[in-house]
Amino acid sequence: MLGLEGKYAYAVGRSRAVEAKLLDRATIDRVVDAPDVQSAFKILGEAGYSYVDSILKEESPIDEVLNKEEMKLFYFIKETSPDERLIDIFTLPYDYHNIKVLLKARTYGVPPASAISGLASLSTESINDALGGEVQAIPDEFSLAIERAQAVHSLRPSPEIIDIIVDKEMYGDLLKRARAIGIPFLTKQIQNEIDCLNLSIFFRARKMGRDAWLVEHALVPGGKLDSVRLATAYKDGAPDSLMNVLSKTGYEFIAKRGLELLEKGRSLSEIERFFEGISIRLIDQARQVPLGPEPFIGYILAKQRELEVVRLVIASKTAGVSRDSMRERLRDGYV
Amino acid sequence: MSITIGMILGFFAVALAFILPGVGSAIGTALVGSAGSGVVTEDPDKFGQVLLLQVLPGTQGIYGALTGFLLMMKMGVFAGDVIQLTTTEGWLAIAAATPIALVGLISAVIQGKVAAAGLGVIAKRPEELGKPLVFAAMVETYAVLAFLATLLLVLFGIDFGGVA
Amino acid sequence: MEIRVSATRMQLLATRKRLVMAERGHKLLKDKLDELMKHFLELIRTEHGLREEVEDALVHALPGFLEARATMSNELMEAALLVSRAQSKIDAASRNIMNIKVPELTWVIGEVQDVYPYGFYRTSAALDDAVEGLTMIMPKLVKLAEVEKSIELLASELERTRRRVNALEYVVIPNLKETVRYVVMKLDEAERGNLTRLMKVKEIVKEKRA
Repeated sequence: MLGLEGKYAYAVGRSRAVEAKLLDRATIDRVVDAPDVQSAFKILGEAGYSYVDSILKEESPIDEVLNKEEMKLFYFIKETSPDERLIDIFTLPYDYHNIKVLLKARTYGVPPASAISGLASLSTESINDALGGEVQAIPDEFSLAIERAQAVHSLRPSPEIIDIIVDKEMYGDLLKRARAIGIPFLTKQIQNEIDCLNLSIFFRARKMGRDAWLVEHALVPGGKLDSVRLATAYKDGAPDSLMNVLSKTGYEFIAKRGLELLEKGRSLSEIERFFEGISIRLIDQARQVPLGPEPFIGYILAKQRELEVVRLVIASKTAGVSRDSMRERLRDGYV
Repeated sequence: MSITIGMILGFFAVALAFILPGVGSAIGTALVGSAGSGVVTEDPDKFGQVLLLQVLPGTQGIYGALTGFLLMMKMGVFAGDVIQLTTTEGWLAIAAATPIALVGLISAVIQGKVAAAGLGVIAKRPEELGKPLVFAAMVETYAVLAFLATLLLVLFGIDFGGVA
Repeated sequence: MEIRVSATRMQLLATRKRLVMAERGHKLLKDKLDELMKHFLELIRTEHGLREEVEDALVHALPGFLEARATMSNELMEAALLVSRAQSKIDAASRNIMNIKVPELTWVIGEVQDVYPYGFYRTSAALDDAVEGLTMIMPKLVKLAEVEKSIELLASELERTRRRVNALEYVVIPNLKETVRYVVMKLDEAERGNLTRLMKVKEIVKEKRA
């Protein structure tokens, strides 16, 4: 009778309780107004953020702090989620990140050191073993991704090929896992991410002047937008063919603006804000659902979003960006 | 003593009155309970407020039980001599129990959901406890109305000739 | 100033010869200096323009990195730029300006679309802009390096030449002139002494006859 609602009731209760601790607008404003980076970290510390020793030593230990926060979030998911597969959805991107890094490092003979993420669940040793031929060192889906990336890379040896193939495999894996977990919102959220990524690929590749072959391989299937038709539209090159693919998908506005920016040769960062806006709206919707997995996942996504905002503010602060332009950038970027 | 179909139907009416609202209340309170433990895990001080919300979906079960006892009384169960109901009388008992059985079941579950959602308010603004309580209590209205209907039907609509 | 030469006619001739040489050398070096100066100024002008262009482009490209860094974690950024994609190289040659070897650098680059070494997931458009901007500056940056090195080489040559010209103009030539004057004076003195002696001898002879 209750299904997911009953299953996730405990998680919802906990999410509601910790949701109250998310940074509110006023705290973000205080961080923006902080006279220097150190006091910004102090305000974050008062709001419950981790303190790291290097705050005093380094100029901006933002990565360390945020990684710790993300780790805390992962613990929260592990502890709270009634479905233990859920945590995979959130750690998976880091696993695939490390796979990309190690595969690129091995293929091109460069040291991977600081590009390795500490948030992954697979150890770097096991990935290295798998790259060295011990395929059973890591689960099948990862070794499959490596295999496919290597196959396409051999057709066209270039580092970004490894990235785009592994990314594509990652989304395939994510979708498969989300469907297995059986939370429709999760699938919807991942599909939304795929759509945004695909559109971003379309425009950025156009701006970079990439060839159709690469775009065809980079576009990720499984979203609501048809990746094959998008690839054809890219090859075709006419703005109308893109609009045809996007008609009645709700992305027309973004596409129109994107084409406009391309024409003027301007930066595409503006489009990325639209994508942010879409995912914020999705998170909001999820958090307004009274019961079920949505508020729980909504909280996780909101926390991740918060960490992104903190990164943005601290990085801008370190770079000496003015408060007004920071506010402008954050205007509709935070809830 | 011979057992009539009417008696079976009468017992069935009692069973309905106990089972359906009871199950609903169990589900409802369980839902609020698990969500409540989530809140209490993060903030143990909120136990009292959470408990208040958890109690609300429990009332339907009580209404159902009261209905059940009343019916038993009417059927002379307490007198130790169960009245031999006719089939029509048996159906009458079922019909009288139906409002609280069905509405109790559904409203308890729904009230559980509303109360669990109300926990969000408690988690963020504990001082606003009254508001989620009112929201959840609104659902109670319909359970009360159904209980009233059943009560009137049983008290005044049914007379099997037993001691009442 | 002390002049240590023997005041002989031979010496005079030799010194005069050296003076002529020095003056000719001075004129030649002065011409060279002018010519060097011309090249030098030209290079300075080129450098000025280039530097302005490069700085302008950098000012536009670097905020892209900052913006990218504001949305990407350190690991993502490092991973994105782990492998350099640009198969570029610099051709180095040299050319002569006034007998000075200056470098000539040329930036050889593949197609622009081939410089992005990362995929699209979790990399930002700002990073694309920054990478593109920097790639566009690269040839100019190399040219700037070439021009600046040339300026440096030319400047040291200029300095050396100027030192030589100055040495000739203010030390060697005046010295030689002084020496010539001294020798001439000494010789004249000796001549006059001789003349006086002859006149005296003539007088004595005349007195004896009378």
